[in-house]
Amino acid sequence: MADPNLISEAMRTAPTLLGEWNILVPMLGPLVVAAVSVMFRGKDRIQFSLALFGTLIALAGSVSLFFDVLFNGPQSLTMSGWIAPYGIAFTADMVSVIFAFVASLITLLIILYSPADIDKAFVKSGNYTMVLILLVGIHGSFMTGDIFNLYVWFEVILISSFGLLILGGEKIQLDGAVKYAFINLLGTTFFLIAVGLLYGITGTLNFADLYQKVADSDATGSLAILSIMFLFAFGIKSAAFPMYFWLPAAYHTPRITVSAIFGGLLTKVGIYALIRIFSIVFPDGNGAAFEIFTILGALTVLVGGLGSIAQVGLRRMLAYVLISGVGMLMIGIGINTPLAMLATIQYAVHSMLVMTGLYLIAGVIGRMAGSFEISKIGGIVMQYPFVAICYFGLALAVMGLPPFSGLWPKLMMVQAAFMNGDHWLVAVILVGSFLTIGGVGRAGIQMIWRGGDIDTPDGQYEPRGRRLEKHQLNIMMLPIVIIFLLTFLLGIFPEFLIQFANLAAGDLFNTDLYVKNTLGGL
Amino acid sequence: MEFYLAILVGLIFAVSTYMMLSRSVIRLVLGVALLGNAVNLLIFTVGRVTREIPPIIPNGFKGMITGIANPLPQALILTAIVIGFALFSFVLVLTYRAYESLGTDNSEEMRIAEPEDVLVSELTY
Repeated sequence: MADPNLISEAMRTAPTLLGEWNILVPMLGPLVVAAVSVMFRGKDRIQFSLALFGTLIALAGSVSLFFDVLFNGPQSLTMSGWIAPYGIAFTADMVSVIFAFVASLITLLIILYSPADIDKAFVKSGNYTMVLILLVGIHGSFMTGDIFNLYVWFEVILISSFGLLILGGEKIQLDGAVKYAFINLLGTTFFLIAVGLLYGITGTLNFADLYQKVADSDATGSLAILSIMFLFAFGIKSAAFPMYFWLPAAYHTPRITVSAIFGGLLTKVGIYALIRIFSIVFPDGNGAAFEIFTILGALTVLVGGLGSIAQVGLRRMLAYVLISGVGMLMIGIGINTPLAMLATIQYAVHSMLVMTGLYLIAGVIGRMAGSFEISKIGGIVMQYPFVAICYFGLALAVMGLPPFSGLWPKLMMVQAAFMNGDHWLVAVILVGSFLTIGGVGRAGIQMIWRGGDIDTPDGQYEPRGRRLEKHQLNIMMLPIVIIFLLTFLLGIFPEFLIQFANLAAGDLFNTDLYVKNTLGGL
Repeated sequence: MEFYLAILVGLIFAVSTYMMLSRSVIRLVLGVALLGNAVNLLIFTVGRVTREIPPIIPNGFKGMITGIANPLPQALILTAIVIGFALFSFVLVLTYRAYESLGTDNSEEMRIAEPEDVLVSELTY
């Protein structure tokens, strides 16, 4: 007969309340629906409805979890009735739920766009199923409170993104996928090496437990090296300088819905992991990590901006704009003050929305012109003025100009850099934004104002593209208009997002709440 | 024992790094496979190698007796092996497909996604 006192030290004796399962809904919902949708292989309408249903469950789950966290503080649940450091814990704080909500919303919009872009053959190959599994992996990464479990979710994301990337099997996709697959595999393996060594030093894998064990550890030299290994591993994932070369090699090869979901969500999962690890495992940076963050971030912003000017393909130009945004987030993590973290979270939300919108509208423009080469696209404003307006709005948003959502996080980032005394960072942020104006603005002027191909004389109008069917255009424009309105509203009423981002930044700097919720004792 | 295992892990890391520096994708695949095994051995070693006493509470005891083998690294390695196997088989098939349709296993010659001189990104569908 086991001693009940011993058991209550390791196992939870109170029953789990129904509300506590909420944290698993955004993961389990789409997972179950994905499993069901495999059974309907080849039935594209049913698979589409199932994908919509699964994403709606994830969205509803993350909304209710959002309110749970808003009113009751961080939520935690440990698997199999263990007590926290022994079992695998899932802990959601404000940062997790903001990221999870935006991720569900973006996936929903992309699924709404999909019927206009995805053929029946693609659906048969499992497009929607893999999108759902990708969403499961993304939500898992946001919710997990265990560093090895984070590795597992990264692998879930990785395998489904491999599948989505090569869907269709064109030569160009195989080429892009080889580069994407190997470098990302290397990145997650490096993450695993760092996890193994961290376990060797501290003897634990739980974030909350790591917070205490790392602070008490006297192996500061080894931990400093480990923090750089994590920076390297997630730097590959989030495409930071100098580990970004795989992104512009791969992100323009698949279907535009796949590019949009990758561009909107995948790099941000890497950024989320960096925020999480460097707020709870290495809160004081353990050495020079935060300085390296700012330097790498600054270089990423500049390289992304310069790359976006240099590209002639619309989708590859957007890949560099995306990299520039990642640099901005790295700078925010590197400054590491509550104001900078607030700006980082707000910028992440803005970047997820706007990059998805830009990729989706690039899909519309590419279909109209029959090409993604900027020199071969023209006459958009004459043919489809509404599309031109949407591109213009999203371009202003990504540049960081009012009245769209990009202005406020950049403003706060500049303010945080000034307050921290990093004046050179202010210059980098502004120059980076200026370069983005060059890239996105030049593409916009050429595609929208010019009458046709690159040699079309002024005043003439000869678009080379085909007209889209009204029905197809409506399906494609609906998600874009929603994103346009969201980024506009977040630009007009920024305080709506700022108050939640402020709470999230507060959670990141007040780690005690997270630790107490995971380990108990609250 | 940990000392010798650490040297072995370092040696495998060195070999796999050398393999991954090659331009041939086949060697890259082998390097990745070796890297995965090196990581598994690394996790095994950092869990401290002890004599083979199973981590089971004997009858009449209230807790673990000392000197047991650490079960957690083994659970981690098992997970990592399964994941690593899935990803390795995917990468193997990807490499074969890429070799079939691109006609090369030299990563320097894989320039379809990023052409060197032709600045074209045509719509492929």
